[in-house]
Amino acid sequence: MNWRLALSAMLVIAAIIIGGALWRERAALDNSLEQGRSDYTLYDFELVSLDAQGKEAFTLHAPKLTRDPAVRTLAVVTPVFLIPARDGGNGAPWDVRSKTGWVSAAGDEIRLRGDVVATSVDADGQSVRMDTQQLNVFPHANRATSAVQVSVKQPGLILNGHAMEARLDLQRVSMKDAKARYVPK
Amino acid sequence: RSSDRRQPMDVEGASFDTSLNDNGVTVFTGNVTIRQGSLMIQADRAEISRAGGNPSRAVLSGRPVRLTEQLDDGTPMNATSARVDYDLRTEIVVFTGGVNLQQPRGNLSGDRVTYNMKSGQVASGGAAGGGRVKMRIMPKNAGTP
Repeated sequence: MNWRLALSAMLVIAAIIIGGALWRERAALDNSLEQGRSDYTLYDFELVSLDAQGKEAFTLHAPKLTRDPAVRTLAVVTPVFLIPARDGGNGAPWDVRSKTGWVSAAGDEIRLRGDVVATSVDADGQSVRMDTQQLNVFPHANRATSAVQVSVKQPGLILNGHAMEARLDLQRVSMKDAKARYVPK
Repeated sequence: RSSDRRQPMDVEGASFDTSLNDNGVTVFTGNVTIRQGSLMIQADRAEISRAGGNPSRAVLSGRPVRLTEQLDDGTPMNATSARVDYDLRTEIVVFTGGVNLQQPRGNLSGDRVTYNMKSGQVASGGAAGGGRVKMRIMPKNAGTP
């Protein structure tokens, strides 16, 4: 009789252990799903973001965008942002693209990461190009910053530095550890 | 050297602020060095203007500004002053504030000196709108008895 009792007890204990393991795994799965889940995903879209005055802050094209429901931010794959010239500024729109992009809930901050290229033309029609691996754009304030190495190229001038601060509307740029090369035309 | 102006001009500094417009001014501050061919300048601050996309003028200040360049005749020219205004198109340089110019043919010091890098012509004192000037011209065969 004893061995039957012992066997039954072992079976019950084993059942409890296996059941607990399955339960924990399911919960973890739910949890990870919950975090990773977006409330919507867009494919091959164009998005026009307006500022508080209803004016276009930027236009965004990308093959894929997912929205995080918890913090209402957007994660974008290979985004192309078009930031319009502002009244009173003296430049043209900026075209800014990168490997990945992140847009804040209010659409007032864009973080671009990976092979970031920003291009525009200045008031005299000369091309302007910015290359970096990180760029933070604040479209409503027409500002852009970067903590890492940035290179700015114009016909006849190459500027390198880091810790960049740029006013996109006024086309003014400041950087630290500055190196410039003027190439005679 | 006149040929210096056809070389790239490299500028370094602790920081800069620039307008990206073609004729914009770029202000470099902090340990600024400028190199262009044989021209070498060291200053605390430099404002470089562009015209038609090319550097057209460099206004420098320092304690002092140090400028060295080789002239077209191959002779070296060293200068120090508080401020330098270099018109890169006409190659006329205006040195102001404790100016000291040194060349093999002689030295010149004064408060304001205008120097034509192409012709080597110097205007200083009253002619350059400045105060007293001191000049020492070395005899040609200074070394031989």
